[in-house]
Amino acid sequence: MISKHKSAVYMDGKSLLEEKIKKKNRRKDYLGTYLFLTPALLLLFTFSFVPIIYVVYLSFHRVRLPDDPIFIGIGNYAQLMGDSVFWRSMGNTLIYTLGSMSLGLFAGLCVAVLLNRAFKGKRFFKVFYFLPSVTSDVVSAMIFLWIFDHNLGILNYLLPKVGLVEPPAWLLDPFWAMFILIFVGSWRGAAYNIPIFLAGLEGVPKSYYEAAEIDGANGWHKFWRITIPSIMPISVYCMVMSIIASFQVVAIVDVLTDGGPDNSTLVALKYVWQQSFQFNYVGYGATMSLFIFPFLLVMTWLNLKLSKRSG
Amino acid sequence: MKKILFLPMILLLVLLFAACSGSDNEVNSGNDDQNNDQNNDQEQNNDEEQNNEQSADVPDRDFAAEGLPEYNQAIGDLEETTLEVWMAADYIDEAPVQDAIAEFMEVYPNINVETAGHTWGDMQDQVRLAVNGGAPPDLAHFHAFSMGNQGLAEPVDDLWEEWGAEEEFLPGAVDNVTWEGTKYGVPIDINTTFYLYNTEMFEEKNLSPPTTLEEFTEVSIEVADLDQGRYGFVPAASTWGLHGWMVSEGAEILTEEDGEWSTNFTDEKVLDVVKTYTDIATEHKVGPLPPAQARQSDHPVAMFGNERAAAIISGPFDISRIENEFPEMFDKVGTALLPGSGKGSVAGGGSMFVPKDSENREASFELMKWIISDKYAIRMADEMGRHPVKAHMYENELYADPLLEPFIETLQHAEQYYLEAFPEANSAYSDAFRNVFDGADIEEAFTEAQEKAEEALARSSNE
Repeated sequence: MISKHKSAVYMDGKSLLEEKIKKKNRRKDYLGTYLFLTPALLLLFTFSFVPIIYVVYLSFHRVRLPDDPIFIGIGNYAQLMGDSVFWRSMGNTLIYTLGSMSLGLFAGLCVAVLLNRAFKGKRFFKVFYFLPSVTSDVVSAMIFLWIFDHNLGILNYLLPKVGLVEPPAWLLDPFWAMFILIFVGSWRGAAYNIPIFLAGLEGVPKSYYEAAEIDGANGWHKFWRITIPSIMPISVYCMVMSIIASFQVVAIVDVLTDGGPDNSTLVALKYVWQQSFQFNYVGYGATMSLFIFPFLLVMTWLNLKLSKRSG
Repeated sequence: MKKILFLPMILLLVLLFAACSGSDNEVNSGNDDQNNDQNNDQEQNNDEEQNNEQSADVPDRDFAAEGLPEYNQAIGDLEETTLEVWMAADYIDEAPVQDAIAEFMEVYPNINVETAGHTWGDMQDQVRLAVNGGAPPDLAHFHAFSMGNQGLAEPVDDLWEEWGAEEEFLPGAVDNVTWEGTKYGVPIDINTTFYLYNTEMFEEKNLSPPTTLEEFTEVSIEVADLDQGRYGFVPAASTWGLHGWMVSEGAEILTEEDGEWSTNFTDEKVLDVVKTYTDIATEHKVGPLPPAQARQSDHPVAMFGNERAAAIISGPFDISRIENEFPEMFDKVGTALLPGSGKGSVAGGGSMFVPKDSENREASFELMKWIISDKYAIRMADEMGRHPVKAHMYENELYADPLLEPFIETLQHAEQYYLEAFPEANSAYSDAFRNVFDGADIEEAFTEAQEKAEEALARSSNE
């Protein structure tokens, strides 16, 4: 009985010891993990979190560099509410975003469907269509400037030759100027989306189409009932990336329209830049940035949510 | 395996923390002090020897005869220094500027110069960012008066006084570096605007260049041949360019009284000039609408050089450009004074300045003297179409060119575009001008601009 008891104590003691060793090892593992993560976390903290916190701080101050910030409470936020130019720029950004995203997705999907067949030179076209997305924004915009400039552009040189005597001043007309910006944005967006859609299309099992054919489905049915649902997660990803990229547009606007005519193509980030760095209202610029930030945050959240659901 | 990975990781962290500890925290014992004294003495001796060596290296050259500044011993005695120089991209890459910098470094081997080109239109914002970020370049290029007003440039009155060369400069050029009596830099070049026309087209219609605003409209209409795709005049949506007309007509957009600045955008004369100028494109349609882009200088030259327009307003810099880019039509180019009083134009060109808090003020100032020295100034005029800021340079045979006559004539009366020193007010004025081309009512547009400018000036005077 005694020996039995002793053995139980021994056994308990052993299990306690094992537990202690396990704990120690686990702590070691955690320590290792955190040590490895430290450099990346430090960089992330320094270059992402600190600036964001600083922007929040600035938004409650009047900042005219190099002077010290002066606390003004919600003064910048109040100014923002009454700033018609800012709201106009937000409206323009939304129009641009919706336009360039929809056109970019549609064109990207169309080209990807066309490329998703066996034909000679397929590889060349894959690279060719991707080129605009690796070309800088400024270069892309310059190409379109030389097409659409009303005096020296090639389009207005050719149109009178086919009977259109007085072609419009494309970049000086509010409607056409925005349309051209959307066109350039979607041209670049489509180029980015094509390889992603193509990868998605190539991943749809052939057996689905064969089964549908046996059931008598035509091409349109197969596209709507099989292709589209299969590539939905990829489409959501492309959509969210397009929205984020569109919110960050500045260079194309700078080169083509400079925000004109009469602010009709002024986008939010260009206005933020102007207020912050051209006019030195850094605090106010920070407030505007904070207003744009939630949009992007919501989009990213939406992306994760929808991708998960689709998955 | 884990342990092996730990070691470099820990080492890296130790190094990281070690690097964070400042080098200022050196603690010396009494003995160390003695050793340090000895070391200091030795270093001092070495420095003296070095200085003697450097003094001995003073180049045996007659700098003045070569059209260069005299050797400056104080600069030669400086420690090894690197100057970061930011200039407009269409200056810094040009041979005269590069050669001036190279020869400066040859004469002062202790000074190394690193250059970077920036777009002229972006320079102000770039310098502002650099100054506010605590990393200013040593020398930058813009309108020093504007940078001085915004607290972005170092005053250099003491260095000008030491130099003693102010008398040599054209008054308009010195204006480019002066704000409220303080000098903030050294002018690099000067230009004014005048009327450039296609002599062949004018002769065809038996016309002479216009001398008044009314004549300007008439001549522009008459010389145009829209069926042939030829415009009479190419307006630009540039308020700097417009300012020449304002000066010529005696219109003042900005005035100063007892240190208080105010704008007069709704002045009748101002609106008259704007109307005459913009009507060419919007009402009479004998000029194209200016392009949407911020940079306006390329478009008129391209239209004029391709003979799609009979006249433009520009400066001497575009004479060289037309000669280089459109040689086949260069012999048809004629020049005349701006229509108006005949005694006005806008003073252009730029200046070099030492951005606020730069540590190498003296060396930068010396480099400025080299860049505008007679030797390189005349090369800048000849090769780049960027004209000198010193009066005696205009005795050079280069200025016997009849095309440059209106430029030399207007040099005496040209005025700086001071509104540039107030970016927000300037932006409001520029937007209004642009909007008139895009169909806005002149009075409404400029009344709105006036209100915005008044608010902006009030804000800046309160700060």
